[in-house]
Amino acid sequence: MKSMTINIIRAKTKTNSNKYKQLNLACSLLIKSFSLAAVLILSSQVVLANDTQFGGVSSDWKPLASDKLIKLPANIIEKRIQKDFQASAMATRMIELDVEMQDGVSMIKSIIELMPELEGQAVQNQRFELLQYKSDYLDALQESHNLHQSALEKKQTLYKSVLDKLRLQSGKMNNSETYKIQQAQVAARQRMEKVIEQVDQSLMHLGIEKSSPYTDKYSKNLSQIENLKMAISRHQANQSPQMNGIDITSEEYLRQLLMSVSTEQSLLDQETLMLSYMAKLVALDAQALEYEVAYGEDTDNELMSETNKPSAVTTLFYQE
Amino acid sequence: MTNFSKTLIALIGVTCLASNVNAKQNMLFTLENLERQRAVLLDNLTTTKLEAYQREQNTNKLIKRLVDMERMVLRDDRIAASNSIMAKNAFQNYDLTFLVHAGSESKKSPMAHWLHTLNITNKSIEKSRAGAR
Repeated sequence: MKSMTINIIRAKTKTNSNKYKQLNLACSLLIKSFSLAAVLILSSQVVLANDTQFGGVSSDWKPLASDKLIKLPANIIEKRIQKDFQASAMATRMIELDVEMQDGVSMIKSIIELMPELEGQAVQNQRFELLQYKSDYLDALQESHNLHQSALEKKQTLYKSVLDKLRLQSGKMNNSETYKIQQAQVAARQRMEKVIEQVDQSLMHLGIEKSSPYTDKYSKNLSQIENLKMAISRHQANQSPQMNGIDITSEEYLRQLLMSVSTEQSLLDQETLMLSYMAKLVALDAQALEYEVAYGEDTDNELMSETNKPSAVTTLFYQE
Repeated sequence: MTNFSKTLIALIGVTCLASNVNAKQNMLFTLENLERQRAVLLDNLTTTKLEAYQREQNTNKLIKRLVDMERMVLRDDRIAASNSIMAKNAFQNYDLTFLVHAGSESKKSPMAHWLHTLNITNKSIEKSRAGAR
């Protein structure tokens, strides 16, 4: 009896070898998708705990807040960082992943469009292929997300470092003796400018009516200097960073950049949650396919149950 | 590197040099001139060699020069960059350094303002004794 059962199982295994192959693959897909979903849910809760665990190590970007970078205007700092990032292996990998994902999406779309036209085993095969493409797409999407998160983390660290160095620099400047003398001179100049006309009039009272060559030429040059100053301040290479059309300081600009990075990070976290739900759906699809391959479709069960009902077979036992 | 980039770098270098041309000069030149002129004014006040009319004529000439020099010093950005004690003291003691403009504020002549700031009055001069220190 035991050997008969084994033989039956072997025979079934031979005839359904193709089905079992699919079943095994469906199982592996299921495990992969469930583990992906679990990992993604965890990673969305523990935000960016470790950027190396998903294999983003090879495509790295190591920016540094050098002294040369800090000397640049804040809006140029941002462009320089962006340019440096675009030239990195990390950005190259991101572009590759984007292309992969685009191809994956077009394949998924074409399979979905093709599905209604198919019947029988072909449908199952297509469903299996669809699941594989979806799984590959999610893998690529996950890697892309990890790279984006890593890039944002690095940008945040970099902006913070630049901001700290700027603060340190301005703090040093504000406390330096030169700065104090400069401030004292500015205050003295303002005090002098209040009495310039008064002094000129008092010179006239003293009988000195003719102004000195310095006074004459200085006033002539002053208007030219003002024009040149205006041209310098209007020059695009010297323009201070702007936010919504308003001039702001470099520190303020960097603070705004940090804020936009954290906004991107929180949106990315939300997308990670979406990714985890998508992975869970793929896992459920794989589970359904696995059950279908293992136990057949529900309609077969209904047929079996129909033949098991005595009422359905009573006509076989009598002749009308 | 392209020729265009090289030319640009050279241009930036030339501009930087042009803006730093004055850095090698004596940064306190205008302040030193003012101090010299101020010393002459004070000497003109205290000297016994001059008649009252001559003193007044000399004072007027010196005041005219001092007006320009005081303005030059206050407009000279190199002085602050010199980071010297002389510059620091000059701006801290505005009333004693910029005698003409500070005197105009207090509606006094430069000399009267100097005497007032140092609290030198007729009485204190009368009480004072000449002698070696």
